[in-house]
Amino acid sequence: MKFNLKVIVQTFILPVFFLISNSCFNRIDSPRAFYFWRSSFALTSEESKMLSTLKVNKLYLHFFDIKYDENTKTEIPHAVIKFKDDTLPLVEIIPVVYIENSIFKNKTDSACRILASKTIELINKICSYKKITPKEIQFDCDWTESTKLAYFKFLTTAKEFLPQKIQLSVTLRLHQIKFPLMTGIPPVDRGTLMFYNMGNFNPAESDNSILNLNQANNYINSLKDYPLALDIALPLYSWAVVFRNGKPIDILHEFDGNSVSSLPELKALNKNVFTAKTGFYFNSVYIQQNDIIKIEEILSAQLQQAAEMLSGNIKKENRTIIFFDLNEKTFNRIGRHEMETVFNNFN
Amino acid sequence: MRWKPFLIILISLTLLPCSYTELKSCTDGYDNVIEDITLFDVQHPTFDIFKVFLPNMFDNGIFQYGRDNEDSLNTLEWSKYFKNKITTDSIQALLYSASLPDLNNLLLNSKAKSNKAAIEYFILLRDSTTQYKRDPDTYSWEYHPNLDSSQYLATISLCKKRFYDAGNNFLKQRYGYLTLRLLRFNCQYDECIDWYKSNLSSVHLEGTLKYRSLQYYAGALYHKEKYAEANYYFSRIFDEYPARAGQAAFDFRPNTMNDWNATIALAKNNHEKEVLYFLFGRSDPMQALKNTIAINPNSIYIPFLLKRLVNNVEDASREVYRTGPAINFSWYDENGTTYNSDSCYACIYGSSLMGKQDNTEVARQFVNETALEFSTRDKALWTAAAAYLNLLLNKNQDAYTMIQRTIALNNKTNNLDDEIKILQTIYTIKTTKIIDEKTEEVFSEIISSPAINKKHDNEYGSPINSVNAYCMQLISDTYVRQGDSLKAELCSRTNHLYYKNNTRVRLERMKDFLSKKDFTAWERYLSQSYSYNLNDILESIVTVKLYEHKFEDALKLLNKIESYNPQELYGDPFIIHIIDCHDCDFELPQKIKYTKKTFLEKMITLSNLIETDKNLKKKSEFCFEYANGLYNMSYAGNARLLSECLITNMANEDDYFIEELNLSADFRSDFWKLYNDCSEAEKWYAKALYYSSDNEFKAKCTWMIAKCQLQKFYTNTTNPITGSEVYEFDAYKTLKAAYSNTDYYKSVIKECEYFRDFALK
Repeated sequence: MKFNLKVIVQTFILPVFFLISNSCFNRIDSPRAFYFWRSSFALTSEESKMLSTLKVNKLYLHFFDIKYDENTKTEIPHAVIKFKDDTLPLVEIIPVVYIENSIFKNKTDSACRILASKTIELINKICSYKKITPKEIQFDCDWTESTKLAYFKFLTTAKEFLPQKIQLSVTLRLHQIKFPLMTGIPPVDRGTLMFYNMGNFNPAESDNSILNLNQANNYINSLKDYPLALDIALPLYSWAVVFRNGKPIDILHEFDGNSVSSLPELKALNKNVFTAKTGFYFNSVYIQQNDIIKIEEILSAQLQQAAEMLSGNIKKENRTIIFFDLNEKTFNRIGRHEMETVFNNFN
Repeated sequence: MRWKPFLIILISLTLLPCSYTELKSCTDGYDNVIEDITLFDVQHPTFDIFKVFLPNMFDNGIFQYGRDNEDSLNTLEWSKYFKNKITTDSIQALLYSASLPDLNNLLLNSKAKSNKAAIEYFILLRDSTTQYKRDPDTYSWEYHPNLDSSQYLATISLCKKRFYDAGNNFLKQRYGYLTLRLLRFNCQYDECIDWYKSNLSSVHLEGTLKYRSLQYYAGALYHKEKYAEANYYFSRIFDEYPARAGQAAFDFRPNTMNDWNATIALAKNNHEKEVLYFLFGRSDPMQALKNTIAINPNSIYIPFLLKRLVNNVEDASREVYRTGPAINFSWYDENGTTYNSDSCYACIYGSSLMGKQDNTEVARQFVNETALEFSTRDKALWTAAAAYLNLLLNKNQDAYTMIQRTIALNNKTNNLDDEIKILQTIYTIKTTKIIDEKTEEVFSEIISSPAINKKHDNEYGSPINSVNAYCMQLISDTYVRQGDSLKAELCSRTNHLYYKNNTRVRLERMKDFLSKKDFTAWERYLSQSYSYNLNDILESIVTVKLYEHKFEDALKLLNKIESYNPQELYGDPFIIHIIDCHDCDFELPQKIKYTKKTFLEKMITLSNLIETDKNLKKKSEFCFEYANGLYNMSYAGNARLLSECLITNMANEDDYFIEELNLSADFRSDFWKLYNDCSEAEKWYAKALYYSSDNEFKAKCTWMIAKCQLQKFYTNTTNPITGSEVYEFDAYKTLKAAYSNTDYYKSVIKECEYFRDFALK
């Protein structure tokens, strides 16, 4: 029998190869995303490049905050987004609205309904202005037991005002995930676990209020059982906490290790804690003599540990991994490769 | 044209809320303002002019606050322009409220050239104001995506043209100013700076326009990061133009020390330096005081800076501000042992680094030293301030010396009579180690003094009596130390959670105290100033007894309360569902509307029926209904209103703190535990089940037992809740094992997702 190699390859080997390759490599990667939290939308070239090289799928775009206004005795939007860039990146845009928890204290059902209506209306106006067709809308509120009912009423109503095809998501803190029966499970389609801001402000060198994996370890086991689909948000930012007379009084958002070297007014108490030898201004904030400044940074090793800790403890399917937030100032500390590695941890 | 009739019509047509304001933060800055109250409320002749900065003068309108009203000044300038022929009301309507169509009509009917020119200006002003209102920075539920630059640019061109063409300097100045403002609002900072330098200096701006323009110019400089120059101009506006003093002070914001040093270098004389140090002193009053004293020991700014420094120490010392959040609350047991939240505080903020370098002590030493060295007309103010800081930081001996010096220096001019009285009172209280009858007599006298009872407005404008409250808090602390928790509670409710434990015993003690017939003067003062009266306490005792399930005792006491105001429960407290739905219960038609009293009566009746009825089926049903009452009066049920009394309110407040602090359930109050406890209901559901022979009914009882177990779990757990733990209550297992063939079981499966997940495992 004469073997026709071409026929054999076409008939047997190629299909088997494709079969194997499909079964082995048909992996669905977790969608990649960033939050964008500045109130004026404009991407630097570095930020645009980061979105494209990392093959980011989504951008969680902060649309506005809702805060209580003492003057009008009602809640009003703050920091409503302005668009300096005419075009948006070619990724899915998810509008995000931050709501102060105190707004929901003692709020009646009808007031929640009115607030939900106004909020969705403003989101719609912004979407329509930038021709955004969202598939998901996210609310960010650190609700507590005392505000749970009102916040959930707000969410239920907001959902009613949205077309069915739009998913509603909320941000979740670790304690809300650990105690779902106490804090309640929000009536939404999915949640984003904010895996940051988890520690207390403390000038001790070893503590980091942004990412505290010891603290997180107490909560991590609860993730698998949480009934909502979970996306994960991880921190990229750094800050400095200012302590005066024993109390944390301010956070300097653009303060990192590099800032210290240019400030002769500071004296190191240890690696990341400093005291002010004299009073001085830093970015319009006045630091008094004897104030303590503690720098809290996220480094790639910590981020990697966090990713490993999380990836083994959350359901695999359909989860988006989000970095907070897209800002080129963080790229020096955590570069593209480090971010890529973190994303890959979840695949 | 006859102005007056037309303007009357125009005003009547346009009496819209006057939302127009020219003031807008030029630098987009904000500042920390001490918002709280102060005990150091010394009056000083210079304070009035700086009152925008005083802690108890803070209000949210601060950005529009100045010592003069700019609108009135502007109106006067226009009045002069119209040679006083138009009323100020009419001018204000033209400037601030007339609509564009009305102004256009007015223009059509206007004949005099100067009037026509003025109306043309008003039209352009109104038009540009409308554009400003579309500024995206304006908070609103409307969305204004961006400034309409094209419209702005057209208006700016027109303004410039009118500026060049203006026939008189009055209008020329205004067009020049308007151009500047529009350039600023359109974020054309370079053009704004150029326009000011090249054109406005030549027209010799006068009156309000001089400083309004300077402020926009300085704002543009700030945006271009020319901080030193910008801050220098803000200080000039602060000093020379009272109408915008508040705004300018808030805009003053050096970015770095280099900027600050460069600003100081721009000062042309010592007076300008004083002003700059004063503004700097809002951030660092002690340093500002040192610098100011060095150049002018008689500076009018010194008393204010001193007050600011004292306020900062007050703020930092925590002692004065006990009405704040839970980080400083405490409670104590029957022996007077105090438990405070220092441990909680430490877990939030604490560390060994805290408190080692404390600015409050540095400030105290500085004020003491300066009070001794300083010899100006304000020396008495310094000694009073030193005395107060010494008291705040528990340096009582030093405080005594400074009080004596203040008394010696006091005279009619500085008039520190009230402050001396306050200092003496605080000193007396602070140095009292044990309060006995004699001390109480002294306290009843000093605490009633008018100086101690002066009221101040807090930041919300509500009058509060901070000195009295502080003194009573100190006395309360002493009572706590000597184990008299009742009087500690009577003196001050703040942060002493008197009713948290041993609730009923303590309520009974309070009842006995308030029922006394032979009060001493001090006791009478305490009973009258206490937040609650005898009826409040009695109703709380009723409520606690109710939750202790002592229904007959509770009813007897309730019947004795005079002026008891019964509240109807929202829903029927004896019905129950598979899944609780309080709102649904409230909407159901109810034959009987229960109150606390009728609820108690019904529970007593049911209890008697259970006792006496021999029919097991009925007995079982009575037990079930009784258990429903117990379930519904708990936190889980539909009759939470039964729990409402002063104790509940306190428990809610405590719970809020506990929640905020993320503390464990052990910190909960006795009443909270009673209110959340469903074990008695569970017991009676079990009895109902025991007496019943109907499987459907038994299934229902078992389900309710499961709900009680769930509530117990919520109340007690501090452990992670995982799926398996939640679903495996004993009653769940019993329900599945023994009653899965009942209709009720099927209904539970249908309605309750949790149980369904458990059952289908």
